[in-house]
Formats: sequence, structure tokens, C-alpha cells
Amino acid sequence: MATREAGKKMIMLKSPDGMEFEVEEAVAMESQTIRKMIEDDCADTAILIPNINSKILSRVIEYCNKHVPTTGATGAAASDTVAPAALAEDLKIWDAEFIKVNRATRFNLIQAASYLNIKGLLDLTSQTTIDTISDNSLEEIRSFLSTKNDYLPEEEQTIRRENQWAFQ
Amino acid sequence: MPSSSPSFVPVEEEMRNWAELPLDAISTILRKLDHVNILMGAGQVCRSWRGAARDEPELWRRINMLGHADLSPELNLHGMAQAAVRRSAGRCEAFWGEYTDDHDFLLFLADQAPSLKSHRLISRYNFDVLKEMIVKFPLLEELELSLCSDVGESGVFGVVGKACPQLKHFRLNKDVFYDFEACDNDRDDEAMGIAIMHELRSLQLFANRLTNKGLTAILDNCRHLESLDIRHCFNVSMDNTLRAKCDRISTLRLILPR
Repeated sequence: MATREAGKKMIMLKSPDGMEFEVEEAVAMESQTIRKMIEDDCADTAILIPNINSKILSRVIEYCNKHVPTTGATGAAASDTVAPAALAEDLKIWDAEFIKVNRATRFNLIQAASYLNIKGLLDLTSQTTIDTISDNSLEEIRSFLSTKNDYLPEEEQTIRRENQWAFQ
Repeated sequence: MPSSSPSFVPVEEEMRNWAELPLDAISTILRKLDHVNILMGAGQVCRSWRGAARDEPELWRRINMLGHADLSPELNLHGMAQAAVRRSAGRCEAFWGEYTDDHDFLLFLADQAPSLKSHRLISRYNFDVLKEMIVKFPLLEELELSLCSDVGESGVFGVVGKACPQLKHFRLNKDVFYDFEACDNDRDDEAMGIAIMHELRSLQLFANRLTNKGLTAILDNCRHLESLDIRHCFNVSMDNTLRAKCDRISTLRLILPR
């Protein structure tokens, strides 16, 4: 059973590389995936988060800590004395700093946000991505996404047919 | 979540292939791109991204192809618009485009988008096609026809008014005010059609040659009108009667001769 401390219920999150993170339940529930597990009573002991290593999981927790909408949070975001607009501005600046990461970390954060179903984090990480792939050529986008043209020859033909508009 | 045997994959390598992102993550990214960018770029890069772009009609429910007029010499914009509409799989509720005035495309849209609520077309267009197309959009709530030349065909907006009983927002913007020799009935032909759009909340008529008579008909018949923009409608002379009728309009924009 998770511990209770000063009215705050704590949850243990485990990464597959063996690290454990004790977080407030409210913070963990920023993830809809974890929320559902808690609500379904599947979270008696530590919750194992597959596919997300400790480095990324700690960053995700950092994000949730900052974004949890309660004055009781341990993050610096919450304060009774700061106006909501100033708080939102503070969050925006914090987000902008938070997302200054290399491409591989951003990839992992997107993957984690998607798996843990944290809409705000998924929005933040994908917005940064579209700024770099808008209005670029196919090859530039492929290079940015470290992906390649993986179509079979017959698929190429279909695409060419569907994309007639591009070749006229 | 499976709590046993997690398939932990090392994530340190720098060159992760973004084709491997989960579908919902790819979709989230695509939803933030505009439709021309999806069609020309991200939606083509590889199989998984193409699948996410192509097989999700929701992504194409509100098609916005505005802001890309600079592409027109290089591309067949009508063909591209057609591809976008096809992907909406009959669920398209908004189509906004410029220079997508090709007749075949507009008739294609009319057949493929029975739920269309918003249509913005910034382009010269043909009123015959408009008449044929508009009767297929019974749910239309917003219509913009901008950059049209002043060669209105008699009765066309009456057809629009009858075909689209739920129309709430209408914009008809000419590129320039041009009042060729005509009798007042001709000048007010478009206004008389607009006057049967009883549900209108906002109306923008830029450089229209309607007269006081036409404007009076609109104000008398469109009782829910809240916003009226008649800049460059130089045949309107704002007298006391008209001013009184405009009293209930909360947003009024006009540049008229004094």
C-alpha cells in the first residue's frame, strides 16, 4: 500500500533499468495511463513503467511536478500569491527551457508522453518538432526524422498515382 | 499495463528513427501541421507517417489550404485539394482554399462533402458552378467568396439562401468597386438574394454595388444580424432611416461618402 504523508498519497514508479521514483499521487496522475491504473486499483505496490528509462522518466516526472494543478505541489509553480496569468507565463518560460534537448531525448519524451498519455507534454514536444519540419523538402524532413524512404516499388507507384497533382 | 517482462529498449542512441513513434504521437504532430505541409512533406516521408496522414479522416475534417497561393505555378492545387477532400472520407466539415476554383474540383467537393459547414473560397469563380455546388451543402453555416469579379449572375444568392437555410456567416468580397451602367434592380440583385438568408449573424460585403434599397431589404429580413461590414459599398448613402435600422447591429463597419 502506498504511504500517506501529511495528507499526500505517494506512488512509487519504477523504470526498467531499476530506478525507483517516489512521487505524489496527484503528480503521477498527470499521466492518464497511470491515473487509470490507480483508479482501477492496479497500483498497490510500485508501478513499473516499461520502455521508459530512468533518465527520461525523471524528466517526465519533473514536467508533471511543474504542471500539476494544485497549490500543494512541491514544484515552484504553485503559489497563492501569484496571478494566474503570471503563472501561465512562468509555465511557458519553464516549458521552453524544458524542451531544449537533443533530438534523441525529444524522441524519447514524445514516446513517453504518448505511452503515459500526458497531453500537455505530447503537445509541447510535438509542437517543437513541427517548427522544424514545416515548409521543408521531403529529404530535409527525412533527415531530421532520421527516417528514410521505405516504400516498396509497388507502393511508390501507388503514391505517384495518388500524387499526380505534384507532378503536373 | 503489462507489469511483467517489460521490453526495455536502450534509448541512448542518438539516431532514433522517427518512423517508429507510436501512431498517436505521429498523429499529434500531423494535427499541428497545415494540410499543404502534410500533403507535400511530413505525410510522405515514410510508410508509418504516410499511413497516419492518409488513413485518419479526422485529420481532414477541417481542411485549410489558405496561405499557399505562392505554390500555384509549380503545383496542381486543385489536384492537391482533391486529395485532401478524398482523405476526409465524406466527413469534411470545412474547406478553405485559394485558387482552388477549378470547376471539376468544386463539383467533386460538392459530391464528397455532404456535411460541409464552412466553405471559404478566395478565388475567381463561376456562378453557374456555385449554383450547382451550393445545393449540395444544406448544412452550410459559413460561406466566403472573396476576390470575385463583379459579374454576378441574376438570382445566384437567392439560390444560396434557399439551399443553405442555416447560413450564419456570409462574406462576399469583390476585388474592386465597379459600378457599370445598370439600373438599381441590377445593383440590388445580390442584396435581394442575401435578404432571404434569415439566419445570418454576420455579413461582409466589400465593394458591393448595392443601394439603400438592397441594404434595407437585408436589414428588414435578416433579423439576427449582429455584424455588418459594408466598406467600399459606394452606392449606399447612410441616411437617418438606415442608421435607425442599423441601431441593433453591434459591429458596423463602413467607409461611405459623406
